[in-house]
Amino acid sequence: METLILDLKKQIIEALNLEDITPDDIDTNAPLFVEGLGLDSIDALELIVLMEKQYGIKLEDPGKSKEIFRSVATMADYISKNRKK
Amino acid sequence: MGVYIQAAAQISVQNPLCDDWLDNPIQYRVPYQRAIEADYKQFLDPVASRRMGRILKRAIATSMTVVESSGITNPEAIIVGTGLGCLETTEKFLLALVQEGEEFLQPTNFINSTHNTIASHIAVHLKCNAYNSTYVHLGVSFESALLDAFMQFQLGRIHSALVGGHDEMIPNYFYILDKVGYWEGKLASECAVSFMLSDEPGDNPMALIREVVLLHNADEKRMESAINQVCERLGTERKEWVSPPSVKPVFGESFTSQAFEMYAAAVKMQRGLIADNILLINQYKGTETSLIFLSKC
Amino acid sequence: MKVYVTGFGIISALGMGAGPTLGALFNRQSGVGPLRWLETMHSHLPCAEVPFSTQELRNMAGVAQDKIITRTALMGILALREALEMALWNEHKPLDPVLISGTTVGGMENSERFFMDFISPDTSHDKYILAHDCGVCTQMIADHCGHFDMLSTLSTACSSAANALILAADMIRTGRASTAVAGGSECLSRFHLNGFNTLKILDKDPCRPFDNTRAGLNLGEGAAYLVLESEESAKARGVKPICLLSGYGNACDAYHQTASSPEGDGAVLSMTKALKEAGLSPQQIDYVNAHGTGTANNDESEGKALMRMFGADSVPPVSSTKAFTGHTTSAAGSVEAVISIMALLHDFLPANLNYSNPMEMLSFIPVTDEKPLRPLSHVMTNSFGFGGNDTTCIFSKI
Repeated sequence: METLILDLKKQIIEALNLEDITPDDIDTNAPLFVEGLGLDSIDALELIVLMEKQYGIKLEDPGKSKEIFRSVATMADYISKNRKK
Repeated sequence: MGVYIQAAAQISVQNPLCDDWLDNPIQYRVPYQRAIEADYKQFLDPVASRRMGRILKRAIATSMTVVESSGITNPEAIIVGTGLGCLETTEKFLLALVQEGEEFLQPTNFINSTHNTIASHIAVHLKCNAYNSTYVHLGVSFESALLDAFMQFQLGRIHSALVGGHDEMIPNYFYILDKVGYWEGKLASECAVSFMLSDEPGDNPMALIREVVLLHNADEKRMESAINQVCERLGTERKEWVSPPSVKPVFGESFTSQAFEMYAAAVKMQRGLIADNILLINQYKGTETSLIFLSKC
Repeated sequence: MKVYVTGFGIISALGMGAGPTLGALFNRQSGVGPLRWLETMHSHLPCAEVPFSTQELRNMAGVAQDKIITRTALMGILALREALEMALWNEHKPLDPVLISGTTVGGMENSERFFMDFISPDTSHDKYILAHDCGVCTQMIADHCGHFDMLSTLSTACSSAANALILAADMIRTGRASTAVAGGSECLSRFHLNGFNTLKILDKDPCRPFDNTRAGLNLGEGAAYLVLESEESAKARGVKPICLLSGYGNACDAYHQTASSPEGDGAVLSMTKALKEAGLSPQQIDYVNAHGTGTANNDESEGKALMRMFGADSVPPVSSTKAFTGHTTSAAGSVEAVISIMALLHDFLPANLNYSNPMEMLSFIPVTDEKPLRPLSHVMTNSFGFGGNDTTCIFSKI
């Protein structure tokens, strides 16, 4: 799980073009949206692409994905249970 | 009737956001050169600007600079001219599409590829709900934006306007245009110029825009006729209007490089380094012509 | 100074020309369906393609086989030609004609096919390189149809053609032109289709504007142009004006790159400006042709804006015609302007197709019956683009 969380942070940084931010700067349990990194609806769409491209998980509805994307921890948890890659 | 240029700022192949180019222009002996970037951290939070490509950062930086110098924080129009729009993000999306297919494409690249994203980003940054438009007409894109702004002033709808000319040039597109002989030996470069215009002079106006004209498929005769009509309307003689040498050797060539011509003329006018009445003529590839009439304040 | 409409032309999924368009609207015949021409892996997505192949369009437009031209330009030529004919252009040539066109795609439909060749030493497709940009598209449309003193090209996403109309009107009002043709053209492309698809706002079914179960938009393609003219010019050319472009307004939502503000601030501003320019009160608007894309965000935002604008209990008849034509993106402003003008002239309200379930947060429901309660004097049309570029136009009977 540790490796997954680290990989996931690196992938998030790349997908969302978070220059000047390292995996250490991202708190695994902090909210990703609104507070914390302050991500928005476009970032949510990018994360959906990331889930499918890296892990083969298809998420069709950005609205329903809110819970999954609450934090890096919730994302990693969902991935470990549903990944196809 | 006239519109004052209260402030202007540039990012280009010369040192950004200053006028070093006037006395010490950097010389280039290459066919293609990207702009020298400013320090964007003073204008933009790195996380907030994570999605912005260079063209967007330059647009915001030059816009914020003229907002600050003029003190006009809520312009009544934001109008941008861009010939090719956001090439970097367009290419990212297009390359992914043609090389990797129609899956896993990134929405950010699409959103930031549309031409109007430049003017829109400026508006979001300034929280400005005013008139907002984007012109994409070849080598007279900037002048089209300028003409729209000028008309808004003429119709009494606005008292201030943020008008810009923005174009970037990526290596692949330089190569593509080079293949078809587009550059004609000129330095292929990038343009980011913002002007704050107003119907009031402000403390230290740079120049006064007297008229803007655009023509399609105009030969010399039609162009001269249009110039004479304007001269007559302004109560001046043709010979009073001087066309200075182009600043393309300094700033290079792009679809919006006429913005540099107006920028340089305004800077020189403010310092008394140029004639009192300047006529900037752009004859773009023999099909589109623009005329900008500038006078000393 | 009054700005008259003296001609219009249109091509869309509903067919070529005002006649077939009107027929489709009266008969509630949607142009949305399976893709025929565009090659894409997303062929399951309903779209509203113009029902002619690019070769057929070329033949209809009379463009020589060896001339490099884009599908966007071909549609533009056909729509422009119809508009000019209606305005008796060739019989009585205007003095100083101007053409303003809105597009975003330009020649992308060729560029996306040949981009890898462009960036390689292969020169076989280099002839398409200069056809890529938006301004060239306008030149192609203009130069094929006649002489124009001045051209310009706008790109404000889905409000491009509407902004072209207002620039043209301003050129007349400032005395820079007596006749100004304006509108837009946009063809489908993989770039566009995939772009919208990444935003997850394309409905897998025919779209349902203002319906509580709506799930997105259907992309369309098309072109439409309007001939705008000063009173003096119309008289001098002996052309009977069709209606007035009585008001227009442009504002920026300035909220987000793709989402509209929840309460539709930009929309309220553009509608307010248009009414002020027209010298009309909200109660005088008889019909609103909404932007109504069928996305969750737009219809809620626009719906709320309409309630704020007109009062929750007095919203005039509203419909979106995007279930007929699809979302024609950069051309939508003029395609829907033509539809609005036809509604005005014929005193009918185009139906909002595919509607069943009222939206919970709105106080009104869209038009589902063509019969109005009164003849139409003033109609309003909205076009809201990504980036918050909001534009409203009002057409009035003379």
